[in-house]
Amino acid sequence: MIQLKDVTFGYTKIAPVFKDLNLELAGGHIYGLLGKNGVGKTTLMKIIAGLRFADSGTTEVFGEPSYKRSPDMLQDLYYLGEEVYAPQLTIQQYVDAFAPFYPHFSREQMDAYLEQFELTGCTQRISAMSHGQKKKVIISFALATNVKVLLMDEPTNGLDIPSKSMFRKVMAMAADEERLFVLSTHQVRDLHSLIDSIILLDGGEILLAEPNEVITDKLLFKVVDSTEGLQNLLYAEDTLRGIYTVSENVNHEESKLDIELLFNAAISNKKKIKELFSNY
Amino acid sequence: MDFGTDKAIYLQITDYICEQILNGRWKAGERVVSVRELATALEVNPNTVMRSYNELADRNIIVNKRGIGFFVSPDAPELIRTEQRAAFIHDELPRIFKKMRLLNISLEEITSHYQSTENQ
Amino acid sequence: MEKMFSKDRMLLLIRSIFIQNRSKDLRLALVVAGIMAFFGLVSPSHGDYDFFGVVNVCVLLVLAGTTYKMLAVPSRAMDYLMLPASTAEKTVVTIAYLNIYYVLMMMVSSFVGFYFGQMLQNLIAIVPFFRDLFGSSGHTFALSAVSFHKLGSNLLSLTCGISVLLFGSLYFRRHAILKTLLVGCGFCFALFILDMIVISSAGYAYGLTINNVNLPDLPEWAETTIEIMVPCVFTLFFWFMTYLRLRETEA
Repeated sequence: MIQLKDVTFGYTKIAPVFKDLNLELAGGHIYGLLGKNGVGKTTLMKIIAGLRFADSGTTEVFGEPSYKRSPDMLQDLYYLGEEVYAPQLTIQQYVDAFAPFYPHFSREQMDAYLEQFELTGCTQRISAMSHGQKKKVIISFALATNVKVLLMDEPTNGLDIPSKSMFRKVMAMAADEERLFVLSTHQVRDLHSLIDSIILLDGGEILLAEPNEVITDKLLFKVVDSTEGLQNLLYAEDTLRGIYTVSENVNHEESKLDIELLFNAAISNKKKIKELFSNY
Repeated sequence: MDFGTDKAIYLQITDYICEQILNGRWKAGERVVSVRELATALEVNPNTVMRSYNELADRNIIVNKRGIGFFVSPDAPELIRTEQRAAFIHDELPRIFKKMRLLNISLEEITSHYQSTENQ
Repeated sequence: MEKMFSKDRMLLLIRSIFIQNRSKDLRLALVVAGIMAFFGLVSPSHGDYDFFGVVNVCVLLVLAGTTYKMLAVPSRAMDYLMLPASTAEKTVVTIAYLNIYYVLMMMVSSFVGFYFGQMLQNLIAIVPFFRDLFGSSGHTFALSAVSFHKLGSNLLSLTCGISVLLFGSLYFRRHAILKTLLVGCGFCFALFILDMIVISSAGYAYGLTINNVNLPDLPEWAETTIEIMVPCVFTLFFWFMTYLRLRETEA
């Protein structure tokens, strides 16, 4: 559904943010986009959405270049930035004005999500709501559009703890086999039960973009007392609970994907990770 | 549900479902909650719940009736008990025996403890 | 072409702009009506109604120059660019909204306000002291006094001015009106200098000097054509530039 080929982008000529970046994303997944601060997660999503234009390479969504921002694409793509625009309209007025632009918009779903967020019957203007409430309204709207591609930049940022739980519920209600979600986040713990595929961005390139099963097929995540006897160890973290390790899964053992551990392992072993997961 | 432990989430969910079947909350022969409903309640990706359901279907604990949904097998409680008995004997017992040998606890001690708790 | 223009989508766009700006527009209309009511109150019935045009034109040009101010706020810009409509549709709707809806709104609220003011004047003029003050003859402004030919050529110039400020609003975003006017003045000044250079170097052969710039008169049809064509060309040019610029806008 989404394809980036040899994408290069930079705010200045000297220091490109991306160099010959390749990425392919398929529907039916909730991707977690991970990377260090300032690595370009937001920029990557904006390039996919057609909000920013790459300097070179092709970015295609539904087979069409995204920079064109064609109505067909926009009707099936929603970009939810970290800062949401809160118009001076009530929820009703907002839906009234903007829902018709999205042919698959569902009023029932909007009401269901608002109910989950405890915003039913709210007649306040969106601009007058608290930051968290504004976000909840726009998240509900975004999910109710039933677009095929939803890009969310730090969706749980600014939500209180009960709201984060509501967000997870609402996402579970909205996910299906065709929709593609990309959630960029620093707060992995908020979303790790929802994410079923990982995109790792570092140093201007994609280290990996795979479903969790593929990752746990190639990598073994284990907590041990000593690293003796571990084959092809990639990364080890000494903690009070034990030594958290990531190694090549030579014996095809089953283990649970630890996203934060994966992230640390990948950053310190870029070459090996790229080797293991190279599809391009 | 806190998914913090080392077991894969979908397996934690299958454990949870088995528990519900054993304690009678999910009754044998009855229709199982939809994938989406359970995913929403547990706040997980529906794919993960689907994986759990498929896993349980493979073990014949639940049955997928095409077009209608998943149902708890009539003999699910028995199946689960059999599975868990096997797991207890193969996984937990060796651990307990190892500890017993390490701490020099005899079988007779265990038996007498067992009998005293039975009376409570 | 169907992919670029959809009647339903454009109507939706118009509707969404209307809903969003409803309260602001109402306030603006009331303010304009109020200003015109004041003028209607104090101006003699046989007076010149030039201020009509001045107030309206100023308001419309300011509206045009602030159209794309919202793009300066990243979240608003993203929201607008991501709205499911083609750039062409968005541009056309914005232009039509300015040139049709806002022009009509200004005209209606101006007339209504002014008329109201005049009625008030007539009412007060019953008292002799005020009658002398206003020099009122008891007549009220009549629509027949409006010259529609003049209105037509004025509307063309207005549309041209709106198109220039609209583009300026998109190009500059912040303090757009000021910057556009400065560039406009600079452009006119440059043109002036160019004229002077042309005249002083080549004009002699045609009997022109800096002190004597009397060009021979063109036949009337030619003059009228130029009067109409030049603003048209400018307008179309800036409309097209606005479209191109919006297509390239990133957020």
